[in-house]
Amino acid sequence: MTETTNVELLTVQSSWEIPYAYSAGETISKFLVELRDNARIMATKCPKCQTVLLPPRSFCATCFISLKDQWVEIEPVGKLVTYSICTEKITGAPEPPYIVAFVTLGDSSVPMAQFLKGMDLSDLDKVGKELKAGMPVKAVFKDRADRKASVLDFHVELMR
Amino acid sequence: MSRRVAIVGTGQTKYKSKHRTYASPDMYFEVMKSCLEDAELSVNDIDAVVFGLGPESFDGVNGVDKWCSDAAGALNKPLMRINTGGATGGSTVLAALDHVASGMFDVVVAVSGQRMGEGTGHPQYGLGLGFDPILVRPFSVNSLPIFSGDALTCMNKFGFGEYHMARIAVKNHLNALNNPYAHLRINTTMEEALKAKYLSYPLRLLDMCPSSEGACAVIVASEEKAKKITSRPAWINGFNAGTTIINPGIGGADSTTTWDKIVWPAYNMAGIDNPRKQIQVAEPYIPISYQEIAAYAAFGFCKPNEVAKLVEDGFGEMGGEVPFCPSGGCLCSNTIGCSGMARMAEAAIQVMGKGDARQVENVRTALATAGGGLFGTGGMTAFFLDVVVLGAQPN
Repeated sequence: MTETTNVELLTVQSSWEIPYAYSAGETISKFLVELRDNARIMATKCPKCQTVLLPPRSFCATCFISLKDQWVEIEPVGKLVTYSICTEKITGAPEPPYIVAFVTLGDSSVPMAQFLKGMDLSDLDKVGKELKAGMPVKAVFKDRADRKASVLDFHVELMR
Repeated sequence: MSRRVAIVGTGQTKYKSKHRTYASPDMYFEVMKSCLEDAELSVNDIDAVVFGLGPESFDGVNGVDKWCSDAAGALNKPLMRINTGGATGGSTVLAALDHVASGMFDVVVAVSGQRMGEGTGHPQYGLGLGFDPILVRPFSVNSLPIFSGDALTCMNKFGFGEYHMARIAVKNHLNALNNPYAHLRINTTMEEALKAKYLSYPLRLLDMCPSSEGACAVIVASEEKAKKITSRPAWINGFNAGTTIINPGIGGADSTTTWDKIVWPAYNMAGIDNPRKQIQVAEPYIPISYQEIAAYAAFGFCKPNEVAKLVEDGFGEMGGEVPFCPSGGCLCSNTIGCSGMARMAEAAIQVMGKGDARQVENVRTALATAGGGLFGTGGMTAFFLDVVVLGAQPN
């Protein structure tokens, strides 16, 4: 385990630049198109265990059955499960500070990630003490022209 | 288990931000050499190699196990690669154990590593690439939001606060001063820990692991071989592994029920019905301070409502009732790919009495765990859990 050396130690610069086009598949495509075209949040529901999955999935992993065409519309309101106030600058991430919330919307019991907006972030300690698990949240959609069939077509805000 | 298996040797590199003196094959050669020396074996004594590596995006090279197979001693031998994210090192030891327990091989080396310092961007960017690219990646979800959200859930559920997290952080940082391999060596205080900047509320700088480079190797052997190789093998008396879906808020580190399902079969196999009385030291996979507090309950050392009291009483300190993380643990050195193996190596070191300044007295049974993968966030992702119970005597 050499810790010291007389050799001039080199590093060689490189990077991976590999473009991809990820297939969303039938289920996620429908979910995203509904967000874009109708500002509507669609989920799938397992007919056996009644679990509502949001984002939707094409199968229930617990019952191991297909959920193809098992669509339900989700009320755009729900609860804050937990959250994170992000203050680190990370490659590819938004400029900090920002809040990533884990929320359950409508009848879904599965927390999904969303940006929590509409908070004054000038005093983060205060925000940390203000936010509590269980607080009601609502989904807020972008205008039609700005919606791009993406999970970023909406965000969540506290209901006040 | 069809055959008894023991750990007979361990090797670790020092963990650090960047090993500028090593190209990757050098690093694996060095760790293999130190592991073989520890067991007093030659590479010819090794029947097969299991190679643990986490995500490729960290090293920036596809299949480092192929590039470094000869450095890992695998020339003309069977080699398989294991990747279970942060649990990789632990899963690699279990795979090596399977190789020997099956009767197909007698002496197998498990080697693992990761180079977290090769990437010049933020390491969390590489980690975030593991999530669902359509549903989760847009939120830049990575360890910081995931674990700070989980920490808040645990604080509410178990009733502990920033003071308790700081106690664990200070304890593990001070323990690392006794570990020659540790990356962070910070002689710190409660005052500093509680004043350190937030990385992501409620987690402060000293609550969180660094990103490290390094490698670890562990040699496992059949009973017959183990007894010939060393007078003090660390017998793998209990083990288990599982895959679950964890999701912040519905089952993260707070998920005592999830860990229950993983640890108790291993305890049962090892003849443990009261871990608090029968385990003398634990090297669990604790990259973030709050997780050790949850682990006291999750691993059956106390009831969920007792964790804060245990922290206040110094339960897991050196000299405490059951020392946790005498090496400083994952909080002070986190290489992803080999962190889980380092936990099992450190537990073996404790059983074999080779811990020097970090040695706990009279260790008869040691617990080690590994955990990793990615938390689910709607776009579900698997989380892997591994556990071993090591004993000074075979059961």
